[in-house]
Formats: sequence, C-alpha cells, structure tokens
Amino acid sequence: MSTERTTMTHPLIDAYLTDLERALADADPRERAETLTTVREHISESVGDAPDGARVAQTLTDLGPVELIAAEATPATPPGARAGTGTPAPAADRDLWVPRVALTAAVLSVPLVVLNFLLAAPIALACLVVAIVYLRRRSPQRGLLQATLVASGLTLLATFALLVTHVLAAPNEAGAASPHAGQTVSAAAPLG
Amino acid sequence: MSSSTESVLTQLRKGVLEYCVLASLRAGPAYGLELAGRLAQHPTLLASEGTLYPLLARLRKQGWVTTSWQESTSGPPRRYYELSPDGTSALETFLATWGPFSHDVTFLLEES
Repeated sequence: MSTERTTMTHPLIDAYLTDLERALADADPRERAETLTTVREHISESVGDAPDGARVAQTLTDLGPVELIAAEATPATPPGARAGTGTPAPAADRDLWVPRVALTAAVLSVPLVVLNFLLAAPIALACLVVAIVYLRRRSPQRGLLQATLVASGLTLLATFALLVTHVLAAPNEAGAASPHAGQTVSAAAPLG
Repeated sequence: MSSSTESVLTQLRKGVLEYCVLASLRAGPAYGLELAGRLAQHPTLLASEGTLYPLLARLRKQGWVTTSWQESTSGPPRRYYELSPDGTSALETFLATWGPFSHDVTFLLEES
C-alpha cells in the first residue's frame, strides 16, 4: 500500500513545518522525525488537497505554537548530561564544596574585620561574588549560598562602617596630634 | 485561560495525559486528526492539538500503541493508532491507581 500523501503547497504550512523542525532540534531524533511526519499528515488530512488560506490558518491555530509541541517531546539527552561525558561529575563535586568553602570564608571574615578589615573585605567580596554566581547557576546548595551572602554582606558593611569612622576620625586625630597644624599650613602658604 | 491556570494544567497533564490518550483508543483504532478531535472535546486535556504528536511518538516507542496504514474513503491512506497489549496493561494499572489517588486528592481538597 502506498502511504505517500499529496504534497501540500501553501507558504503558511511550509513556514510552520520549518519552524517546527527548528523547534524540535533538541528532541529525541526518533520522536522528532515521527512528530514532523505525523503533524504533516494531520495538516494534510485537515486541509485536503487544495488548501485555502482560512482553512490552513485554522488548522495551524488548532495545532498550536511549535514551541508548545516541541516542549512535549523528550529531549535528545537528559538535562545535566549535555556538557559531555566526564564533565558532569566534577561539576557536581564543585557545586558541593565551593558553597561550603565560600560560607566558611565569609563567616571567618566577620570577626576578621576587627583585626584587619583590609584583609577581611577582599575575602568577603570574593565570597559574595561566588555566592551570586552559584545562585545564578541554580546550585542546589541554595541555603549555604544565601548564608554566604548574609555573612559577606555583614563583613562588607562592617568594613564600610570602619572606613567611615576612620575617615571621620582622621582630621580630629590629626588636630589632636598637632595642635598647631593649622598655623603651620597658613604659615607655609605664602611659600607655595 | 490565565497563565497560572495553564501552568497548573501543564503540571497535571504530566503523567496523566498519556493514559487519557490510551483510554481514548479503547474504543478502537483512530488516526491522528480523529484522535486530536476526540481529545479536543475536553479542553483541559490538550494544550493544543499539535502536542498530541510527540506524545503518540513516545507511546509508540514505549510499545504501548502500534500503528498501521488503512485505506481511506476520502483520500490517501491514514496512519491508525491502536492500543497494544502492553498499552492495555499499562492503562489497567493506571486505572487501578487513579481511583484511590483522585479520591484522596478530592477528599483533601474538599476537606481543606
């Protein structure tokens, strides 16, 4: 029995099938081929041999957006296995230890502010960046990363507060250390 | 239909729709357009008629439906989908599970 169907010629149908083929690019090859064939058969059956514009438009509307059809298809490779063989496991390991290290460093940076805020601030900043990057990657260690954000944020705030305090205190300290500093400057001014 | 309703339906269709397709084939073999028409009578089941075809391809890959060509009185031959013995068995298992499951869900929702 011949299973060949009459070739449909309508620009809307051609465009729809081209879009569908593109939308199914990542689908399981067997499902992609079969879906394309059966959708074509559906259109052919619905519009007949001499498709008119209104009938074609209604058929394609009923079929729905190609993205919706493609979303129903099974992906060619499972998500997470797309990076290639070998790479997913190290990436998974990294997802486990990086958030823990970042949280530890961020927590340690909080008391370190008191001892040396110039050392604590870069550590906190690095932890903050790591936490944001991993949160954007939808790492499963979301809780650890959020805690890292809080701890590093605290360190940076404390550093900022200390810096402001130092800057505000600096003129007073200078004034206290050299009560005649103002006079020295004004005396030196004519020389400039 | 609002986007939130559609997103709930999308989740509910997963794992259920394939059995609805199998159930709609219990009455006998059907070709794609015919099957789409049957399911489209129940507006919550299919997001659009086209979404039926990847599902049918998957069911065929699983061996739950088989296809055959049959002559048509109004045009070229049609591809007919038919429930296989494995598909019938899968549907029976689903039916046996769906009853208590839907009962529990309904009970909990109404109680809440």
